Amino acid sequence: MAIGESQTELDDGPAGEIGDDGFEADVGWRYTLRKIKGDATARFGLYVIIVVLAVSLVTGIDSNLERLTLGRYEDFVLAEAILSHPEHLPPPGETERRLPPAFAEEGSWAHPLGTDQNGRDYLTRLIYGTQVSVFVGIVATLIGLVGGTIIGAISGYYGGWVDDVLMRAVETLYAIPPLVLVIVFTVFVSGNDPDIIYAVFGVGIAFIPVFARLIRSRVLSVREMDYVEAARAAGVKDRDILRRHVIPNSFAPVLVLATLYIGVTILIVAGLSFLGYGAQPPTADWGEMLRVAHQYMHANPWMSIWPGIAILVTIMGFNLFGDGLQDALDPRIK
Amino acid sequence: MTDTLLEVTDLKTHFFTERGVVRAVDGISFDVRPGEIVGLVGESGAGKSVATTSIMRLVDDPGQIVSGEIEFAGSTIVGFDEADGELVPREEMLSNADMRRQIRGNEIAIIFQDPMESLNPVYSVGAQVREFIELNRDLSGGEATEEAIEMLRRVGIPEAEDRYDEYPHQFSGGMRQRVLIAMALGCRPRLIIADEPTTALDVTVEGQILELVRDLQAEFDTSFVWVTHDMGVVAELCDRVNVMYLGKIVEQGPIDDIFYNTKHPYTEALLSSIPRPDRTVAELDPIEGTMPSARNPPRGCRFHPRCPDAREACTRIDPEFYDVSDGAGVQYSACIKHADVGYWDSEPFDGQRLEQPP
Repeated sequence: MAIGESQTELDDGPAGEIGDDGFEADVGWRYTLRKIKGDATARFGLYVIIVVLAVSLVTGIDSNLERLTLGRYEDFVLAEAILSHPEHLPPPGETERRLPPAFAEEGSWAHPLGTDQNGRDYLTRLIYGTQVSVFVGIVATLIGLVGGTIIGAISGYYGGWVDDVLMRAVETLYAIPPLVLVIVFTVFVSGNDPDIIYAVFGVGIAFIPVFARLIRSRVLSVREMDYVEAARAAGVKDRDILRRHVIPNSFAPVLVLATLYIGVTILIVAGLSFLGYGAQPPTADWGEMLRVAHQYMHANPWMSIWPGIAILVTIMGFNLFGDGLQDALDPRIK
Repeated sequence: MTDTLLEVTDLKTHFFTERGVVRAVDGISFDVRPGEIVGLVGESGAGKSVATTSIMRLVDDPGQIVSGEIEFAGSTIVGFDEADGELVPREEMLSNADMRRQIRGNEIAIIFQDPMESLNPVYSVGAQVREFIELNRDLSGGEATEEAIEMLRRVGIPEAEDRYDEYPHQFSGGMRQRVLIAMALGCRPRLIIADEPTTALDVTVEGQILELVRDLQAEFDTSFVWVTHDMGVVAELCDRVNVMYLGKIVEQGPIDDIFYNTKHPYTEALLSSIPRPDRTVAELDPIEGTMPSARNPPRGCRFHPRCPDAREACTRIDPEFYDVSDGAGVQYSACIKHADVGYWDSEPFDGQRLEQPP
């Protein structure tokens, strides 16, 4: 009887391993990663992200970081000593300004990517800029993700007037162009003393609506699932139903969007820095570097090109990975 | 009243939609005694599921319990008092928080229809059984885990310790249904509402599950309300049956009386539409037409547009619940054949058979 039937089933092995049935949707991290491994562009994106994260971590644990980002000349020379051949180093403080990259006619391998208008090594600044960008991308996206998830999940789960109030508020926020919103936010909160942290919070808040709307739409369907009804019928508290049952099952598209939005926030904060509302000199930030560089566009175009490439590659990495993640998490698109 | 566990009296649950009031449950009364399996049978849309969610007080907007009483083992789940011609919830009615803490899961558990949808795909099966047990019984985390494994074993899941950590997608439909039963029974409720739990399963598995439920029922002495559209399941499992049609119970009685001494044309029609090996499809006797909308139910007896025995009187008289067991008070039928209200004198009902009244 009962036992016999289940025995034959066990002989087949766990159904999840079969996977070819077509109707058995596979889940889990291992499966997702396996799928991404099979996808060349997503794999490329993953490698870019790993490199970017590694670079930012390495610079993060370097105790010299704070001194280096302050930007005194001797500190940059110290960094030069680490990154290039010490024997080529000019005396401290005497580095040539706006040196072209090494492969150009007047370049030197002491500064593989040249120097900036103050004679600081460009490669070093680019590398330190990675840390700012990763911090900006992750923190701002997290703010949007957490805020949006809470608002959207509550809104979608409870419905009614709660939904109306929250979603109208969110839509009001959504109607304002993010750049304008962030600039206003920065100016107000910082008292006209902009800093990257305000930009990060501003962008994070500006992206709350995107996440809130996405997760709400998912929650609307997930809350009708029988397991949510079953949890209610078993006397689980609303808060626990949201936390344990509704949100985890609504989260996949949000995760994809977050990955894509790390790239977007990096771009937007770089734009803010370019406008002077983000990172302030002497912080090594790609957007800030671009802002300075555009004044020397004719004299030394390389100063604009390098941070541009860094931004491009990083964002591309996150986008490719995000696309791959989407394909992996959505079984309908093969 | 002491021998009644659940008593539902004249329960009405209506849905207030923009296109009118849907009378999904329109005055049903039934009771469940300890250790009994009571069937709630009817076609899709008869209001069976709404009736069960009303018992749990989990009716979603725009649905509302508008009147009636539900008593469960001395506590009032639903009750109204009349004040100034309006019905106001009675004071001793359990608050929402009390419902959650005392009744849901603890005293009454539900097993849902679709085993594929009733388990959360992101948690292991064992964790879900444990969550419900932990919530509804005074057990520490470790004890709850052991109890969860024990319950999985009790419902016939082999190698329960290993399968505890597996995910729902690694279980077959029948196995998942067993898990749902383990989840419900693990909370040690006094009443389990089973909402068409075997409908999604194939017949062999259904048989096993029914057998399992019968065994466990005897072992744990839990009462069941078994919601189904399948008279076959009812015959196999239930002690007493309530037949529902369009928001009302049309016949109520012990299983044998319902099957062998059928007193309502609808029950008769249901019974003769069961597929049987000795009859081909052509010989089946399906009920004509479809169930009318509960938004605008037919006047008189709600079944008259489809009833083979309908007479003119049926269109006028709203039938009450008539005792058809010679005053023994065990079997009731809501058909005016069994009352002295002029059925036998009136003309047979014909014409506009399936039309909706204006």
